[in-house]
Amino acid sequence: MSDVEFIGTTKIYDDGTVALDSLDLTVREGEFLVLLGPSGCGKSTALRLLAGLEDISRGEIRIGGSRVNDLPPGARGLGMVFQSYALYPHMTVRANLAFGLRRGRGDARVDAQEISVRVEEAAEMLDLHKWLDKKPRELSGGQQQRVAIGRALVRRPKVLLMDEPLSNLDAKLRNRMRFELRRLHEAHGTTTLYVTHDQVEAMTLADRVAILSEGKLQQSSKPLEAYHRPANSFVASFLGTPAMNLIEGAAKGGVFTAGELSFALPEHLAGRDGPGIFGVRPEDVQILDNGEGGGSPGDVHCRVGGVEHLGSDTVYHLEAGGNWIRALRRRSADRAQGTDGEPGEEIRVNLAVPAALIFED
Amino acid sequence: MTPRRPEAGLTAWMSAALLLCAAAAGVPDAKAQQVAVDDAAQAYRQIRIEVDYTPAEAIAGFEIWYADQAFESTGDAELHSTIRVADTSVLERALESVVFDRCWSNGLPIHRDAAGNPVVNPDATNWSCALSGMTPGTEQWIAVVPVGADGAPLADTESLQPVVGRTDVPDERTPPPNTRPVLYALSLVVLSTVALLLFLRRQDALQGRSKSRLAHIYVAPALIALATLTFYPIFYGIWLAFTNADQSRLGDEAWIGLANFATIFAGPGVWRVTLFTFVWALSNVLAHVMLGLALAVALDRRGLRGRMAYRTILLLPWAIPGYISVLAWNGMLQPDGLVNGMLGTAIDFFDGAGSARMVVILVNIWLGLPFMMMVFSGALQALPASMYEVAEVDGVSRWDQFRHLTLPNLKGTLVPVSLLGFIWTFNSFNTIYLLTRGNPYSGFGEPGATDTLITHVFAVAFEYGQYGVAAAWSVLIFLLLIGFSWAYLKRTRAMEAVA
Amino acid sequence: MSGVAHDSSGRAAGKPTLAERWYVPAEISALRVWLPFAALVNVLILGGEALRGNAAGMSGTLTAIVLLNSLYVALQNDARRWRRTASRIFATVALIHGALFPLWRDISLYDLWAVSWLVVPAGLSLYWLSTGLSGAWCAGASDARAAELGLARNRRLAPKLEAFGLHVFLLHAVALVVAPVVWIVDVSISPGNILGGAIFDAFSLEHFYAVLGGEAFWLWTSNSLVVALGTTLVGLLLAIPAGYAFSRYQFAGRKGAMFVFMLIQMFPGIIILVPYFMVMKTLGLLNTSIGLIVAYSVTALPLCVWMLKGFFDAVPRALEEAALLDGCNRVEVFFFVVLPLSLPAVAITALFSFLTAWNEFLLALVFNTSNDAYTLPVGLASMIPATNQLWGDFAAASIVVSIPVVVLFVLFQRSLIQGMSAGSVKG
Repeated sequence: MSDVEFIGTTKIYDDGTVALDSLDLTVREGEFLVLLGPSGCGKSTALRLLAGLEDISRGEIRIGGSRVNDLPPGARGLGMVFQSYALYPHMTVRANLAFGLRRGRGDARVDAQEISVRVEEAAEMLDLHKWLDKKPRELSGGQQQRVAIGRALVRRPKVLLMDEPLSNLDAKLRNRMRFELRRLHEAHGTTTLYVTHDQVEAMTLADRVAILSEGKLQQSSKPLEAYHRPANSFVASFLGTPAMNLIEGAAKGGVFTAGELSFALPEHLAGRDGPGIFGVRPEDVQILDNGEGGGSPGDVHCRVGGVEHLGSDTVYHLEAGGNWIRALRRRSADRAQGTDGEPGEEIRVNLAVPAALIFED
Repeated sequence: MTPRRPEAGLTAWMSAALLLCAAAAGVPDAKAQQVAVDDAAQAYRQIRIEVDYTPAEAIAGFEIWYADQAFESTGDAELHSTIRVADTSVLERALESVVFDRCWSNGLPIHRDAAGNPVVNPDATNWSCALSGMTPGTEQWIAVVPVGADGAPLADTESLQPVVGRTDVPDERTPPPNTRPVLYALSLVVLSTVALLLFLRRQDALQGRSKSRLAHIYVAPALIALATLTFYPIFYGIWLAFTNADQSRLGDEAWIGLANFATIFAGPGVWRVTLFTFVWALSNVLAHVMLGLALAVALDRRGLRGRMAYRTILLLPWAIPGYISVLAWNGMLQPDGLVNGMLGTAIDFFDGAGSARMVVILVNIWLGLPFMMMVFSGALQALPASMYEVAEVDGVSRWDQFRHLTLPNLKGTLVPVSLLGFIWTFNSFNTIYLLTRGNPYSGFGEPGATDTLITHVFAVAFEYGQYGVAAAWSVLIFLLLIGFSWAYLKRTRAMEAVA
Repeated sequence: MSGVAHDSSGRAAGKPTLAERWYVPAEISALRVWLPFAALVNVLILGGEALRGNAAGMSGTLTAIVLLNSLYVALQNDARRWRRTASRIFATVALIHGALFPLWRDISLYDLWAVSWLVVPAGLSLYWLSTGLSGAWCAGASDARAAELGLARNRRLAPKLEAFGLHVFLLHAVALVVAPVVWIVDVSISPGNILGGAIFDAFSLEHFYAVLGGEAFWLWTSNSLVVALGTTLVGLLLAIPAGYAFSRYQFAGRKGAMFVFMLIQMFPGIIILVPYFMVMKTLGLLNTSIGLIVAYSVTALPLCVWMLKGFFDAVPRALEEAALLDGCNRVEVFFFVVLPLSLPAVAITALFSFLTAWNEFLLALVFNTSNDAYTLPVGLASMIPATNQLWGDFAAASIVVSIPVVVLFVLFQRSLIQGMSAGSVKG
């Protein structure tokens, strides 16, 4: 098990596209790091550069302190799980697990007895005993995925790479597998680099999350930190559902103005001056029932544009001064559902909450 | 008054002939002979020659050489047949109805040995043969060369003086062939097909499948065409196998049971030609698969520059009409052709049995390669790239990737394609016919060294005119093919189930 | 990993780094593939020398094979001094042996090519063993830094070496494939009907004049044209409805019919040839176009039906169903919706049918006994009888016949191959 360092890693394709722009990132030993971002942001590229499946244009990658830029993939001691699992279709599960050990050029020659020991281990860890002698096509998606993970782990890799492994599963299975993956990581403890575009996976699986956009690293920190203290508006809008409200405007003298909308800023933001993007999460928006409390400077008068009843929550789409604001109200015991706020109604909300932020970009 | 002295006349004639021949042949030898063509005894594709000679101890046999233009050397002619000189006391005379050449010696049908070869007594002075296989309407030059016990010619083979013969007898046409039976049979087939289709349609209607009402009508023309022009000929062919049909008996062939099959198995060279056919097909398929796969793998490499150009060029053997490329190879392999020019030799590749066989196989390999290459190309592209990437990350070497990942996954393509290739090669005719016509020949009526079952059947049917025998051959070949395919599929299915 | 002294590349003092353990110069890996292959080619060349009867050449080539193999064995995985020395000796000997080739073989273009299969691998080996990173590695003088540089170099060099090897292999295949074409062109423009002479040494258009000016060729062409067009027409008329029925309908007897179609493709033509011939003869259809058209249409039928079925399968049913809902009956649907959409497919099948009839030899040979009725294949083949072969005229005629065929094939290769493989491999 080793740590991974990306030092100024850059990938530029022949036609000039910059897939990854000078990535500086460290994955600590034993850490579960999630590379998160929309498609095309460079996360898969980073993974493939680490695996050695593509050449690095500039910069370095180090595994365990050694530079591996030019090492062939097989020499780097990695295990990889692909989105499509890429199991060998003509071999049984057992053969799939053993193939890399038998044919791969490992640092250590693994003999037949050790191979069966390790296969047993993997089968035990991933509960594959029932299917050891079946072919991949006889297995369901989730089972295939476990075989893929087992195949990667059986070589005791220094780093485990996962490229969107849950994307091909249906929603329910995905939820279950998220929990499984977390549990597995606690069991085997291998440094893991996990790529996904799903922020829920990132939030639940990651020890740390690194968010990329258009080839550049936006933020790398613990998930909750990224959630509550996003470095920029991109990260802010990427994490959380429904997405954070981002209102472009300017702050001056403790008041934020955006078009026809203007309201007082909360205390911690009052000193800000100049153009910026005001951000507040829908669940942080205080919905004031009419008549509750007096008007405060952070109040905004909105018109209800639409209401979505999700059962557990209610999402209000509010319009104020040319800006749209989403507000989320959670279901709670002491409030009747669906009675507050109909389209067309006027409502007051308070945006000057402690969780609000202003971004430069 | 002229006294009739036949013996004197005969002696005089013979001496004169001898002297003449001796002078003409330039060989001051008493082994002179006279060859004459009997124009009166012509038949369809047959020229009859008479040979008179003085028996001599050194003569162990006679070789009959022929060509369709004048020649002086045996190198410019083809060997038609051989007549041995040996003790005939234990041999039987051939019946006149023997299939191919009919020969006589001193007026009586010639003796034949156990293998069916003609034999004359050492003290015979004359024999004559009706040589078959002569192209009608053109002149044929024929020469007879006596050979010694070691097979070496006893006369000068470079300054021969062949005689000219010609047969213009047209194909024996009995009264205009009776078209009625054939037309009856055809109409019967058509009607039964239509009946079958109507029956099936009714089945559908009874089962409530009304949506496919038109289906049988759509399929009808094609099925009727197939029935009349494929099924009917097949069954007709099977029936022909049991008759004595030949070119002189068109329309009134008679049932002779299994006689044709007996002829086949008793004839010379049966097993040899079958063996060669299998060797021919198997070696072709092996080479096609290995080389086709190699080329497909080479073309499959990502980032290969000029891939489209390579692929298009390598398709040429498939694009160029087959007969043209085979004939071109024929020209390239001539003693004064390209291959010899390159090597600096003047080898006649078509001369020896072994060399001719090798050459024929090589040309056919060349011909069939593009198809195999394209099939494997398609199959390779269907393999997922991520499978190889996983192996790469695991450190599996490229060769191991090929052996353990590519090959097993190609099995699904390999099996049907190799069977198809086998059948295609087995059935192929053009290559051998246009390169060697089956030569080198070992004897008239026998399959040649490069004959396969298919080309031999062609010769039996269309050069010897033995339709019944040819039909019997066809039946046997078909059974052979079916049996082999069934066994092959069964074995590979069994392997797949186990694997 | 703590407590042990590290240098800049992370190596624990004394142990070889990962890079060192994994580094094999790309040149050496390439040689390990090229040398056995070169030895194999030399085996073939040995056969050539045997054909020439050149004993000196045979022993010389045998020596070459031995040298190449020894070189390969000496170049094993680990880099040791003695291995390097041994390899260099073998390579040098091989080079000298190759350079002296006029002593043991003739001098011609062919010989130069043959010797290059000894000299080039040996020369490259010697060069790579002695110089640069690979040379140093073989001498065991490589260190961690060199290994890292080497790995970087490998990344750039390995693809180039592989491409070089592939191109050599493919170019040889191309040469073999193109040789007959070059030969045909050369013979067609060389005067006289005999072979021999160097390539492209003389120029004469007499063969083209003879062939194109003569009557026979045009007679054959018109025969072929009539037959091929007739086959295409009849074939399509029969195959299109059948293909559509197989594709769209589930009807009683469908499976059996498909199986039968497949089985027929497997038949050797010879099996039905004799009865075919007799039927045609009885009906008086020999030496006519109709006889051939009928025969060809039926032999090509199964494959055409298969190809068309495959193409029809690709037309979405939703389109037909929409038309049905609009009020068309099934026949109208077929003519106005399906057929226009599959026109390219029909065109490809027509082309395939046409080419099959145009190039067919056996049936034409059997059915046509008189020169007047010859189609092009039989006519061209008749130029090359057992004696008196008209190579020049044949070559000129071949070019005229082949060019349109090859052009058509190349233009439509993708669709033709797609259609054919769909039909044949699926079985």
